[in-house]
Amino acid sequence: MRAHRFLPVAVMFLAQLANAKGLVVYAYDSFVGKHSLGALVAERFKTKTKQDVEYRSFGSAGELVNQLVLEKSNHQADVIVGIDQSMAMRVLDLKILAKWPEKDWRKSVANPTLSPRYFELLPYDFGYLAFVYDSRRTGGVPRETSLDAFVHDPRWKKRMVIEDPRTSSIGFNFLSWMHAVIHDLPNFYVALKAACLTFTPGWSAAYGLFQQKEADFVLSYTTSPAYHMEKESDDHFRALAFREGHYRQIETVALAANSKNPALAKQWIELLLSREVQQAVATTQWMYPIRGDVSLPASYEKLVRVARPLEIAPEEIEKSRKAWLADWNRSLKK
Amino acid sequence: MASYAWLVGALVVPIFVLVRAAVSGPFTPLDWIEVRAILQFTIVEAALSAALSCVLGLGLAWAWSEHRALRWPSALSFSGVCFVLPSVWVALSIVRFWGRAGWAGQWIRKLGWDYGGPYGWPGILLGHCILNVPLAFLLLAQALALRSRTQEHAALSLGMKPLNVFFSFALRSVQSEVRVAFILIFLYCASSFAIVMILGGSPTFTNVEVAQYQAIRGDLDATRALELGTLSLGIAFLAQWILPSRAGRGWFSKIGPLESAISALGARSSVGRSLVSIGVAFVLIFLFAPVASVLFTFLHGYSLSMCVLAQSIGLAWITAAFTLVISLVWVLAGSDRKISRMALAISGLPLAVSGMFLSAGFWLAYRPLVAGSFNVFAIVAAQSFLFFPFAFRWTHERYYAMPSRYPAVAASLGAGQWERWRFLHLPWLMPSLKLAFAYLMALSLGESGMVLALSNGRFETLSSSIFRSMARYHFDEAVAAGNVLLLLVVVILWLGKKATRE
Repeated sequence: MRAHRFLPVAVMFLAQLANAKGLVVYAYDSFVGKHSLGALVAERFKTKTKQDVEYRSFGSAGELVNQLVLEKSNHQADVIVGIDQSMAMRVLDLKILAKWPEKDWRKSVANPTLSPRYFELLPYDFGYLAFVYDSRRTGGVPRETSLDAFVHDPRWKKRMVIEDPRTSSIGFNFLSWMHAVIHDLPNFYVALKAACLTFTPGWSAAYGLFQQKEADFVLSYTTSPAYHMEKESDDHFRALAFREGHYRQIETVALAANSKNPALAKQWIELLLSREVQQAVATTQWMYPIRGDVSLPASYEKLVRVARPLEIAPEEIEKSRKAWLADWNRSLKK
Repeated sequence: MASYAWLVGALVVPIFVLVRAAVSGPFTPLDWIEVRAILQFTIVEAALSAALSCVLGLGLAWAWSEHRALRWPSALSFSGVCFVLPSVWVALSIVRFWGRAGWAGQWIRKLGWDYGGPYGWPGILLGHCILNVPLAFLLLAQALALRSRTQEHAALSLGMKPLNVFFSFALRSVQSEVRVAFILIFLYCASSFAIVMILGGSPTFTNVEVAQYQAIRGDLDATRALELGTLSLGIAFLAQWILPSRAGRGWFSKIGPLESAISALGARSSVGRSLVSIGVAFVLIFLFAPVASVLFTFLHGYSLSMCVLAQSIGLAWITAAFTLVISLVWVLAGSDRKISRMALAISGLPLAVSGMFLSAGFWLAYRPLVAGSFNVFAIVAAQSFLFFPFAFRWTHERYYAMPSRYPAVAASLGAGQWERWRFLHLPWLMPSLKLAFAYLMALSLGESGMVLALSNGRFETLSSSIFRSMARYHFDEAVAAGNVLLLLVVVILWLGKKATRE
């Protein structure tokens, strides 16, 4: 018998058997896995409650929401992580989330600058959209500009890469940003098409192209340069500051109304929003922690300070979603 | 029965559950003007990509079969690694070589050409060729190697030029394999996503797969996605059903002008041979330099998880074995010619189902299994469904390549059905099965969509770790994982080839 041939199979099954399920959390893929915020919360949760967390991960928050739309009240989640403003209404309309009392909401979120829009959704981190560049490659970038002037600047023709709003949540938030600040959208789209080298399906591909020096500007977050400072000791990466403000993406966590373990689920959410875990948000999610009482790494001090956070109400986004995308499609095909 | 149960379990149940869930929402009528444009682009890009891949694959396969002494083309079979790598990774490696800042791109710009990178049609076709030429080569090289050469030798001894021999005999003997390769590549390219989006460069390049992603991720409209999914299934069924019966008939007899134009090349055999060598070398560099350009660039400092490696290999092993068993059962079940044609038409359907859609269907249909500790079985089932078209075609073509007199002779000598299967068909199929096993393992190693979707974040393979690393800025780690994956695939393909020779 050549038993060793079956060794990998046996190891894989043992690894599978070692996993037992407990609390079920629906999340997007980069929230879970090795060295992620999800892994950290699961580890602390296990220590605290002796219970396991089962992550059900989806490629993106969009896929997660799509799954909830398909499953409706038959879903198995106790907790749902990763819903931002662009998808909030779609999930709220399903009426599958539990409401938090206002007092508890304010206590858990612990950020006096944020007022609750919906008591079902508790913010756990946020970030500002921005164009990131490498100052070694790109000379003459102004310290501050406007989105319109930046896209119309002939120097940056075919030098940007952005995520396609049809397939990417950051891309869709950029679409919201445009609708929030640009008055002449048809003209802006023409300039944007000329400025963009390509439109990628998601953030990873866009940032990959930027890292390969194929494009000089990438649509990412104002916090992206912090990663390069912290992990690569490289402070040449910068985010452009825009006068009209930056679009704020707020990621939220929610408790499922039909959770089989509501007490445990609440504990998990409270742990995610606790000071000890929020401390890790800046260097695992590379976003701002929601708590105002958390200290940030030194690299965050050097980032663009956003004076005017921009947002569009989820109701308006939901109302306009299809029209915006159809308009985008039509204009960029021309 | 088992094979049909598998089809029902793997395709019908998930799709049915998905349809039931999706149609409970508001119905969105399709905008037919937009759909027509999407369909038109899908068919044109898939047909062009398939045609180009087949032409290049056929040229390389013929060069390999004629000049085996030249070792370089045999390395091409290892280039199948491109086919198994995650397509986002392949797209980025193409850009790394052919992009504006890529190795070749920089040289082109130094020559004074205002080179804007491979975006648009050139990028889409290049990307699809890199992914599919090895597949075409593999299918056609095998067929060319197995053909009878009696007539060709006679023609050559009577003074016929080598290229004339190729067009008159060799090409005609592999007509059916060319059609098979064309259909497989057509279906694969029709459902291409990352290549079309990243290298297409604008929403002008929107195929059915991209439109489905838009419906799911952008519009959050599962009903529309389902409608588009039905369209792509329709395309796959038509391509499978119509092309084998209609297309190709007489096509090979209409290539006279091409034949005469290049027959002069074959007149001087040594020059012709050198030109063939240069041509093949050029094609190889053109196609595979992008993947080679990222090889071994980032292995330093990468800590490989043995658990991830074991899980990757284990999953690939089980998936390959399971898929081969299923396809063998299908081949035997479809040994009747009428059933065979239906089986052929159905067997390609998995290629038309969007991975994201399939995983959603699997999740809904087999929730207890997917959510439980044994979700690896759901991944195996989903992957085997995705790879079934390749396994089925490999085994099916080889099965029917057996001269009909062999089983007849065996039967006349008293061999029963089991004996014929055990001592005639199985040994006949064995080389294909070994190679198919290696390729199926390679495909499973490179597949990430199902692992990401059905693993609940616990089960990690090398390919899924590429995506997870990229999503956290760890691009070096992603490239290192990609390199380990490449090495692993090359070793598996080498073992497969070695086993085939034995």
